[in-house]
Amino acid sequence: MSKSFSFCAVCFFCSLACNVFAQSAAYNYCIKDAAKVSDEAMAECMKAENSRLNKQIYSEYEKISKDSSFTNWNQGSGMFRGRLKNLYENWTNFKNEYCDLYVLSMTNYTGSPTYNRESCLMDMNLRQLIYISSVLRNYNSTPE
Amino acid sequence: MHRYFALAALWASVACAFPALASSDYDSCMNNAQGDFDIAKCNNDEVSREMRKIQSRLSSIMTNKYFTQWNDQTLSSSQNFQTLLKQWIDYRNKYCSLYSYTFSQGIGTITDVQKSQCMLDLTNRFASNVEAIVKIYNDMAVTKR
Repeated sequence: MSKSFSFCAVCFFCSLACNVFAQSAAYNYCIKDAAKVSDEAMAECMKAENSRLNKQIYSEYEKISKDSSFTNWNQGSGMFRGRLKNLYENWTNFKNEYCDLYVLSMTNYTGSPTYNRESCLMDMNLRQLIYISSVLRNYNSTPE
Repeated sequence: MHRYFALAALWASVACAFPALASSDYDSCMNNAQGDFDIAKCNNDEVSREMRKIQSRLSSIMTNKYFTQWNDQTLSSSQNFQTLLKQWIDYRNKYCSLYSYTFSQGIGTITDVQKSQCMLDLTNRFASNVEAIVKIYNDMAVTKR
Protein backbone atom coordinates (compact mmCIF):
# COMPACT_ATOMS: atom_id res chain seq x y z
CA MET A 1 0.00 0.00 0.00
CA SER A 2 2.77 2.37 0.98
CA LYS A 3 4.68 1.37 -2.16
CA SER A 4 1.77 2.09 -4.47
CA PHE A 5 1.13 5.37 -2.71
CA SER A 6 4.76 6.33 -3.12
CA PHE A 7 4.74 5.29 -6.77
CA CYS A 8 1.60 7.35 -7.48
CA ALA A 9 3.06 10.35 -5.69
CA VAL A 10 6.30 10.08 -7.66
CA CYS A 11 4.38 9.78 -10.96
CA PHE A 12 2.25 12.76 -10.03
CA PHE A 13 5.18 14.97 -9.12
CA CYS A 14 7.22 13.79 -12.10
CA SER A 15 4.40 14.68 -14.42
CA LEU A 16 4.23 18.09 -12.76
CA ALA A 17 7.94 18.67 -12.66
CA CYS A 18 8.78 17.48 -16.16
CA ASN A 19 5.84 19.16 -17.83
CA VAL A 20 7.62 22.48 -17.82
CA PHE A 21 7.76 23.14 -21.52
CA ALA A 22 4.16 24.33 -21.96
CA GLN A 23 4.84 27.87 -23.11
CA SER A 24 2.29 30.05 -24.88
CA ALA A 25 1.75 29.94 -28.65
CA ALA A 26 2.99 33.53 -28.90
CA TYR A 27 6.25 32.53 -27.25
CA ASN A 28 6.73 29.50 -29.50
CA TYR A 29 6.11 31.67 -32.54
CA CYS A 30 8.52 34.35 -31.30
CA ILE A 31 11.36 32.01 -30.33
CA LYS A 32 11.18 30.15 -33.64
CA ASP A 33 12.20 33.29 -35.52
CA ALA A 34 14.49 34.67 -32.83
CA ALA A 35 16.55 31.47 -32.70
CA LYS A 36 17.82 32.33 -36.19
CA VAL A 37 18.89 35.81 -35.06
CA SER A 38 20.69 36.03 -31.71
CA ASP A 39 20.72 35.33 -27.98
CA GLU A 40 19.34 38.78 -27.35
CA ALA A 41 16.40 38.21 -29.70
CA MET A 42 15.58 34.96 -27.92
CA ALA A 43 15.93 36.71 -24.56
CA GLU A 44 13.32 39.24 -25.68
CA CYS A 45 10.86 36.43 -26.44
CA MET A 46 11.53 34.89 -23.03
CA LYS A 47 11.17 38.24 -21.32
CA ALA A 48 7.70 38.68 -22.81
CA GLU A 49 6.79 35.14 -21.84
CA ASN A 50 8.07 35.71 -18.30
CA SER A 51 5.95 38.81 -18.02
CA ARG A 52 2.89 36.77 -19.01
CA LEU A 53 3.81 33.98 -16.61
CA ASN A 54 4.39 36.39 -13.72
CA LYS A 55 0.90 37.82 -14.20
CA GLN A 56 -0.59 34.35 -14.34
CA ILE A 57 1.24 33.27 -11.18
CA TYR A 58 0.14 36.40 -9.34
CA SER A 59 -3.41 35.77 -10.47
CA GLU A 60 -3.27 32.20 -9.07
CA TYR A 61 -2.12 33.56 -5.70
CA GLU A 62 -4.93 36.10 -5.75
CA LYS A 63 -7.48 33.37 -6.51
CA ILE A 64 -6.30 31.38 -3.49
CA SER A 65 -6.40 34.46 -1.26
CA LYS A 66 -9.99 35.16 -2.30
CA ASP A 67 -11.13 31.58 -1.69
CA SER A 68 -12.70 31.44 1.77
CA SER A 69 -11.53 27.82 2.19
CA PHE A 70 -8.00 29.12 2.62
CA THR A 71 -8.74 31.99 4.99
CA ASN A 72 -7.91 29.83 7.98
CA TRP A 73 -4.56 28.75 6.52
CA ASN A 74 -3.81 32.34 5.60
CA GLN A 75 -4.01 33.39 9.26
CA GLY A 76 -7.53 34.71 8.96
CA SER A 77 -6.75 36.99 6.08
CA GLY A 78 -9.07 36.95 3.10
CA MET A 79 -6.82 39.22 1.10
CA PHE A 80 -3.47 38.82 -0.57
CA ARG A 81 -1.44 39.16 2.60
CA GLY A 82 -0.43 37.03 5.56
CA ARG A 83 1.20 33.66 4.93
CA LEU A 84 0.19 33.61 1.28
CA LYS A 85 1.93 36.90 0.57
CA ASN A 86 4.98 35.67 2.50
CA LEU A 87 4.97 32.53 0.37
CA TYR A 88 4.86 34.62 -2.80
CA GLU A 89 7.70 36.84 -1.58
CA ASN A 90 9.81 33.89 -0.46
CA TRP A 91 9.45 32.33 -3.88
CA THR A 92 10.17 35.57 -5.75
CA ASN A 93 13.29 36.26 -3.67
CA PHE A 94 14.50 32.70 -4.03
CA LYS A 95 13.93 32.77 -7.79
CA ASN A 96 15.94 35.98 -8.21
CA GLU A 97 18.80 34.81 -5.98
CA TYR A 98 18.96 31.42 -7.63
CA CYS A 99 18.92 32.87 -11.15
CA ASP A 100 21.72 35.28 -10.17
CA LEU A 101 23.79 32.27 -9.20
CA TYR A 102 22.82 30.43 -12.37
CA VAL A 103 23.58 33.41 -14.61
CA LEU A 104 27.04 33.84 -13.17
CA SER A 105 27.83 30.18 -13.64
CA MET A 106 26.64 30.18 -17.24
CA THR A 107 28.20 33.54 -18.10
CA ASN A 108 31.61 32.09 -17.42
CA TYR A 109 30.63 29.12 -19.53
CA THR A 110 28.48 30.13 -22.49
CA GLY A 111 25.55 32.34 -23.53
CA SER A 112 24.72 35.98 -22.88
CA PRO A 113 23.74 37.02 -19.33
CA THR A 114 20.33 38.25 -20.52
CA TYR A 115 19.62 35.00 -22.32
CA ASN A 116 20.69 32.90 -19.34
CA ARG A 117 18.76 35.00 -16.87
CA GLU A 118 15.50 34.94 -18.84
CA SER A 119 15.93 31.25 -19.50
CA CYS A 120 16.39 30.52 -15.79
CA LEU A 121 13.46 32.74 -14.82
CA MET A 122 11.22 31.06 -17.36
CA ASP A 123 12.07 27.61 -16.05
CA MET A 124 11.34 28.74 -12.49
CA ASN A 125 8.13 30.52 -13.51
CA LEU A 126 6.75 27.57 -15.43
CA ARG A 127 7.41 25.24 -12.52
CA GLN A 128 5.92 27.69 -10.02
CA LEU A 129 2.80 28.07 -12.13
CA ILE A 130 2.33 24.30 -12.15
CA TYR A 131 2.84 24.07 -8.38
CA ILE A 132 0.65 26.99 -7.36
CA SER A 133 -2.17 26.19 -9.75
CA SER A 134 -2.26 22.65 -8.32
CA VAL A 135 -3.42 24.06 -4.96
CA LEU A 136 -6.94 25.04 -6.00
CA ARG A 137 -7.17 22.19 -8.48
CA ASN A 138 -6.38 19.67 -5.73
CA TYR A 139 -8.71 21.33 -3.31
CA ASN A 140 -11.60 21.28 -5.78
CA SER A 141 -11.01 17.65 -6.69
CA THR A 142 -10.72 16.39 -3.10
CA PRO A 143 -13.96 14.73 -1.93
CA GLU A 144 -15.69 16.30 1.09
CA MET B 1 23.85 27.18 -31.08
CA HIS B 2 24.07 23.42 -30.57
CA ARG B 3 26.12 24.04 -27.42
CA TYR B 4 23.07 25.72 -25.88
CA PHE B 5 20.89 22.77 -26.69
CA ALA B 6 23.46 20.37 -25.26
CA LEU B 7 23.59 22.41 -22.06
CA ALA B 8 19.82 22.71 -21.92
CA ALA B 9 19.52 18.96 -22.39
CA LEU B 10 22.04 18.36 -19.60
CA TRP B 11 20.21 20.80 -17.36
CA ALA B 12 16.81 19.22 -18.09
CA SER B 13 18.08 15.68 -17.65
CA VAL B 14 19.65 16.50 -14.27
CA ALA B 15 16.55 18.40 -13.19
CA CYS B 16 14.15 15.61 -14.18
CA ALA B 17 16.21 12.75 -12.78
CA PHE B 18 15.35 13.41 -9.14
CA PRO B 19 12.85 10.61 -8.44
CA ALA B 20 15.45 7.94 -9.08
CA LEU B 21 17.68 9.23 -6.31
CA ALA B 22 15.84 7.90 -3.23
CA SER B 23 18.27 6.37 -0.72
CA SER B 24 18.20 2.71 0.27
CA ASP B 25 17.35 3.82 3.82
CA TYR B 26 14.24 5.50 2.42
CA ASP B 27 13.20 2.45 0.39
CA SER B 28 13.69 0.21 3.38
CA CYS B 29 11.75 2.58 5.63
CA MET B 30 8.85 2.79 3.17
CA ASN B 31 8.74 -0.99 2.76
CA ASN B 32 8.28 -1.37 6.51
CA ALA B 33 5.86 1.56 6.95
CA GLN B 34 2.63 0.51 8.64
CA GLY B 35 0.58 3.62 8.09
CA ASP B 36 0.43 7.36 7.56
CA PHE B 37 2.55 8.22 10.59
CA ASP B 38 5.35 5.89 9.44
CA ILE B 39 5.19 7.11 5.84
CA ALA B 40 5.46 10.72 6.97
CA LYS B 41 8.42 9.81 9.16
CA CYS B 42 10.19 8.04 6.26
CA ASN B 43 9.67 11.11 4.09
CA ASN B 44 10.88 13.51 6.78
CA ASP B 45 13.99 11.40 7.48
CA GLU B 46 14.78 11.36 3.76
CA VAL B 47 14.37 15.14 3.62
CA SER B 48 16.93 15.46 6.45
CA ARG B 49 19.34 13.17 4.61
CA GLU B 50 18.89 15.16 1.38
CA MET B 51 19.44 18.45 3.19
CA ARG B 52 22.74 17.16 4.58
CA LYS B 53 23.76 16.13 1.06
CA ILE B 54 22.82 19.55 -0.33
CA GLN B 55 24.93 21.30 2.33
CA SER B 56 27.79 18.97 1.60
CA ARG B 57 27.62 19.48 -2.19
CA LEU B 58 27.48 23.23 -1.77
CA SER B 59 30.39 23.14 0.67
CA SER B 60 32.42 21.52 -2.10
CA ILE B 61 32.28 24.72 -4.17
CA MET B 62 32.56 27.20 -1.30
CA THR B 63 36.19 27.92 -2.13
CA ASN B 64 35.67 27.91 -5.91
CA LYS B 65 36.61 31.42 -7.02
CA TYR B 66 33.74 31.66 -9.51
CA PHE B 67 31.26 30.72 -6.83
CA THR B 68 32.75 33.14 -4.30
CA GLN B 69 32.44 35.87 -6.95
CA TRP B 70 28.68 35.45 -6.62
CA ASN B 71 28.84 34.66 -2.95
CA ASP B 72 29.69 38.23 -1.87
CA GLN B 73 33.13 37.97 -3.44
CA THR B 74 34.90 36.84 -0.28
CA LEU B 75 35.97 33.42 0.86
CA SER B 76 34.77 33.97 4.40
CA SER B 77 31.29 35.30 3.69
CA SER B 78 28.42 33.16 2.55
CA GLN B 79 25.77 35.82 2.88
CA ASN B 80 24.16 35.31 -0.48
CA PHE B 81 24.20 31.58 -0.29
CA GLN B 82 22.69 31.57 3.20
CA THR B 83 20.02 34.01 2.02
CA LEU B 84 19.25 31.81 -0.97
CA LEU B 85 18.97 28.73 1.21
CA LYS B 86 16.82 30.49 3.77
CA GLN B 87 14.46 31.85 1.10
CA TRP B 88 14.13 28.43 -0.39
CA ILE B 89 13.49 26.67 2.95
CA ASP B 90 10.88 29.28 3.89
CA TYR B 91 9.23 28.90 0.50
CA ARG B 92 9.27 25.08 0.64
CA ASN B 93 7.82 24.91 4.14
CA LYS B 94 5.02 27.38 3.43
CA TYR B 95 4.15 25.93 0.05
CA CYS B 96 3.98 22.38 1.41
CA SER B 97 1.85 23.55 4.30
CA LEU B 98 -0.56 25.11 1.81
CA TYR B 99 -0.40 22.12 -0.53
CA SER B 100 -1.20 19.64 2.23
CA TYR B 101 -3.99 21.88 3.50
CA THR B 102 -5.88 21.30 0.25
CA PHE B 103 -6.36 17.63 1.13
CA SER B 104 -7.80 17.78 4.63
CA GLN B 105 -7.59 21.37 5.87
CA GLY B 106 -5.00 20.40 8.46
CA ILE B 107 -7.12 17.63 9.99
CA GLY B 108 -6.08 13.99 10.10
CA THR B 109 -2.89 12.09 9.38
CA ILE B 110 -3.13 12.46 5.59
CA THR B 111 -2.08 16.10 5.95
CA ASP B 112 1.28 15.04 7.40
CA VAL B 113 1.76 12.46 4.66
CA GLN B 114 1.01 14.95 1.90
CA LYS B 115 3.14 17.63 3.49
CA SER B 116 6.13 15.33 3.95
CA GLN B 117 5.79 14.02 0.38
CA CYS B 118 5.68 17.57 -0.92
CA MET B 119 8.75 18.50 1.18
CA LEU B 120 10.60 15.50 -0.21
CA ASP B 121 9.69 16.33 -3.80
CA LEU B 122 10.76 19.96 -3.52
CA THR B 123 13.94 19.02 -1.67
CA ASN B 124 14.85 16.49 -4.36
CA ARG B 125 14.23 19.07 -7.04
CA PHE B 126 16.35 21.64 -5.24
CA ALA B 127 19.08 19.01 -4.86
CA SER B 128 18.99 18.50 -8.65
CA ASN B 129 19.31 22.24 -9.21
CA VAL B 130 22.20 22.43 -6.75
CA GLU B 131 23.86 19.47 -8.44
CA ALA B 132 23.63 21.19 -11.82
CA ILE B 133 25.18 24.36 -10.37
CA VAL B 134 27.95 22.41 -8.63
CA LYS B 135 28.78 20.58 -11.86
CA ILE B 136 29.01 23.84 -13.79
CA TYR B 137 31.22 25.53 -11.19
CA ASN B 138 33.47 22.49 -10.94
CA ASP B 139 33.77 22.37 -14.72
CA MET B 140 34.68 26.05 -14.78
CA ALA B 141 37.35 25.51 -12.16
CA VAL B 142 38.93 22.90 -14.43
CA THR B 143 38.54 24.61 -17.80
CA LYS B 144 39.38 28.18 -16.69
CA ARG B 145 42.23 27.37 -14.32
